[in-house]
Amino acid sequence: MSGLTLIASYPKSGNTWLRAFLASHLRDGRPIDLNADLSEVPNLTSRSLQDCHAGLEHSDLSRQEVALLRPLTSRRIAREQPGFYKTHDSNLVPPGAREPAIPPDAIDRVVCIVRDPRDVAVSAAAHFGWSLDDSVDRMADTAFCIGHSPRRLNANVEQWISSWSAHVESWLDAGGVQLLMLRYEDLLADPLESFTQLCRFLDLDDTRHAVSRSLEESRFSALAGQEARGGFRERSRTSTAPFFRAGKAGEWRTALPAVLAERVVGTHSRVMARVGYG
Amino acid sequence: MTDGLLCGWRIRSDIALPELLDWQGDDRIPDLVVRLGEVDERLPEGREISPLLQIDGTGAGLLQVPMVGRFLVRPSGGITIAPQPEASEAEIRLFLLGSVLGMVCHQRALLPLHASSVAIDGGAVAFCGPSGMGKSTLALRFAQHGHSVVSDDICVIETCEPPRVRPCFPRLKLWRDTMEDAALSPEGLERNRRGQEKFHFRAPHAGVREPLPLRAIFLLRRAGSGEGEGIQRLAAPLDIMAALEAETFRLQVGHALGRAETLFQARALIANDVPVYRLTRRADAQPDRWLDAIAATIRG
Repeated sequence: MSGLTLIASYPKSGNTWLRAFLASHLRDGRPIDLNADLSEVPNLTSRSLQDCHAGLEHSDLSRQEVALLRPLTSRRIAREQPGFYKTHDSNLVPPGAREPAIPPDAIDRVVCIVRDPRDVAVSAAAHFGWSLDDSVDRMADTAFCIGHSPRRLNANVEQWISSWSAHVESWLDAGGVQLLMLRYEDLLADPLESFTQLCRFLDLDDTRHAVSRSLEESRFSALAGQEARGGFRERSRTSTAPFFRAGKAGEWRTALPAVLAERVVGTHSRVMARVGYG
Repeated sequence: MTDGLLCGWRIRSDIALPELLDWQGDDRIPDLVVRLGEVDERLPEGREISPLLQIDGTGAGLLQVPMVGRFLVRPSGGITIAPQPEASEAEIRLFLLGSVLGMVCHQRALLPLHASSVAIDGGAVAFCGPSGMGKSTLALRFAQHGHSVVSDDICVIETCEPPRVRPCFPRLKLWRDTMEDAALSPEGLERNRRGQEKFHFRAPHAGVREPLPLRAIFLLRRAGSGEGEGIQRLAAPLDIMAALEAETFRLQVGHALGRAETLFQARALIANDVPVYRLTRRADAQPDRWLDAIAATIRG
């Protein structure tokens, strides 16, 4: 494997679950420490990683300079530190840049996780400390980005997310890269089958025994239990709920007012239909 | 324009460098001369060290910051800057007194640590750590208690016995939240970059002119879940040397300039002569809480 193997998703779509699974699976199914072992699949946009490979501090750069620099740094990371990485970047070209933050030639393969945007809206509201209304609005915002805190240093560098629809399609339509799309709902409905597919795609041990063992170590109750006991360093500062909050599909039916659910569908219907959310 | 004092060097510059103390030393030829002029996009026979930096076989470096300008840094001490039309002087100085200074240190075989430092009891105490770990914040809090700021991002170490810190300038780069937490207003201060809520704060006490013995180094780190806070001295020289390597400012530049050996010797000397501590704090720890403990640790 050479280059970056990405676990790519819009925020709150199951990325951390896959990382937890891989953190165990890559270490022969051993139990995971939530606050240490997710580093098996580190965040590509971590400020320290980006600063190290860029050879300067992103906090001294303008947003446009960061957008120009990121593809160059991605290529450098792909060359010098290839492996698994998590990202919420879209595969779109941010304003002022000439290419996406992670250009295709830096990528080995991509696992793209997609989740019903109505559930994403509920989860993102709790994670970022937004109202449900705001959450739905931001998912429609084609200029949405994360990793930028105006008043203090953010642990990540800036990521151009765009709207939920644009984000999902940017990866689904990525040319020139090997891609596996997984739906969060399918991961929940049949974990063994979905994660076996994941392991096969990543050239990892896909035997039933190994996959089941890693699934057991990364089950929701174990992760939520660890967070309850020792906290989770990746939880947002503005969050209003635990990071591992529900871990369910279809929560929007009770948690999202009908008018907002309709707004999500109105905005994202085409892409929702494309990935099977009727 | 008066020449300035930077890390013991006499510096003459086409652009004003208000952060620096005036040169009051002998009438030597300036060690560093900063000129505005043309700079080519490529360094002939330059090798790419990082995405925005090339270095050639003579030891010259070319840094290109897209919206700020090109900086050509010759080992002779000649620095030519070709600014972008929209760049402000503050933005040019940010890179001149940051990345370029780091390169000059490597060209001159000094050890630049990614650290802030303050004067305590006639010596310099350095705080190292990744961005966001509180280096500048600690320096600010010491400054508010009457200590001089010796350096902010780059702590320049001269490897004599005992190792000494060459003072940079008493300016700190601080985010708005950090300033407001310290009851300071950023109103009227220069911004780090246009539109950014990070400011250049000049510490109130007169800067330091002469090199100071390096009294101690504190490696700042965040406590993991369930881990306690505290100060722990590193005992094993190999641990100290590994930590100092990780904290070297622009290590790749030093290596590209053929300084691996001298950097190794510098780390070995520090590991032998200077106490190095790990300061583990929680993310929400009040900065002032640690000032007394740090001072007490140094005083033994």
